Amino acid sequence: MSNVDHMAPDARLVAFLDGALPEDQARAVQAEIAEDPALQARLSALDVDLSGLRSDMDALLPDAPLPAVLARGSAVQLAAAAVMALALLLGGVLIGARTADRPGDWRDFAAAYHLLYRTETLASDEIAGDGGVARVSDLLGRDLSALARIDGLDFRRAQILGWEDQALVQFAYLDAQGRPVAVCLMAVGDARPATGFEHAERHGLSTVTFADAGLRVLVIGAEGMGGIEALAEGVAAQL
Amino acid sequence: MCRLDRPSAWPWTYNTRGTQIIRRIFPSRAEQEIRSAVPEVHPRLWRYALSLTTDRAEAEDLAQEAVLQGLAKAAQFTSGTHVDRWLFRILHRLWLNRLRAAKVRRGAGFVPVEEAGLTAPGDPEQTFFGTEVLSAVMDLSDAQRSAVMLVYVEGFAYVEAAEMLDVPIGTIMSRLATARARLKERLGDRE
Repeated sequence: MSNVDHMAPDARLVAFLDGALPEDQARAVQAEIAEDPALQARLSALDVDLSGLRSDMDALLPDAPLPAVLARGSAVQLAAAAVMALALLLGGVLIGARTADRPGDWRDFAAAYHLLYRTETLASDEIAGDGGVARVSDLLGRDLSALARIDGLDFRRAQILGWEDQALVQFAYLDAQGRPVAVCLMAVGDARPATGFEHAERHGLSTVTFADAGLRVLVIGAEGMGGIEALAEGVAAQL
Repeated sequence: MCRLDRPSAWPWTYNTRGTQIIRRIFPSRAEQEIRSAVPEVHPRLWRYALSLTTDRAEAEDLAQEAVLQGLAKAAQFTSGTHVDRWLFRILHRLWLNRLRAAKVRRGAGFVPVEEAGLTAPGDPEQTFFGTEVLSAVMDLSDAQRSAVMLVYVEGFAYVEAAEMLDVPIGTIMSRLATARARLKERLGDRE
């Protein structure tokens, strides 16, 4: 922050209101205001509560589209991958089956998206109707209403998202401490075998992934791996 | 004086298609940093773009272009510094270029917030209040609104916002002062 003496009077008051002045300068400005009615009037003319603006703009974050730049590999990257795969085959190296979960896959995006959630994101929403459960159940072709009743989680809403050309359903909850928790589901087909829990830290959040009943399930939250695993067991029990 | 004439860049630094492909396969550390920050920064770029363009599709396009340009210019990004500041700065420049290209002058009298899709769902009373604050902010001039969004919504320091908008820090503070005075006039005392 530049020296308070060199600032235009209004700029100095803005910095004071924003708490951007060093403590000694803030004290000096405060003392000056206390003695000067004109300065008090000016301060009042600038003192507007902008907290509503921030919360309104924060509420937009979950609506943000996914950046397509990271969603799909470029033609160059695909061509390079093809060349490398061919080279490996020619060298007699057997390449293992390509798994559905590549590094940098949907779970990373889902976790990054979850990082933007705050208690207020979910707490301020009144649950409209069934919270979207019927809609997402229709989409995935199965009754998911049990996921709105998971022990230890306060269900807030279910919404439709997407990953590449696949539907991705997200159930959002608040835990007992008011922290956001999300359960994301993608259809993988009934032919896929159920898998055990796979644990990973993504963007500082704990995640558990498993497949069951033709669904790939991802549970995300900030409660630590033990807590998320316990919640994931509750989710698995309802599927 | 005799001086050996030599190319300004040696052949292996030429920006040929070949070197571009190699860079795409083996991204630099700077590019990796940008890529890994995109999932977190992109939604913020998008909402800032929305406040500039007031149009969801154009905001998406602008945010996307900023990310693409950020990646294309990764060589200019200093590894270990703040990706968000870098991308916000790029986005703002792109927006100014678009404004100049289209010779669009948008002063006061933007589309109402309701039409811009900026109204967030939620408690009706909160939405009403929120819409009023947002609406008042959207009626500020482009310059004042950018400063308000970068400092009061994105939480950037004055000096960071000044760098992004390419203006002196004093200009940022004076824009904030004018914006605050206008918002106070319109919104009055609300606690």
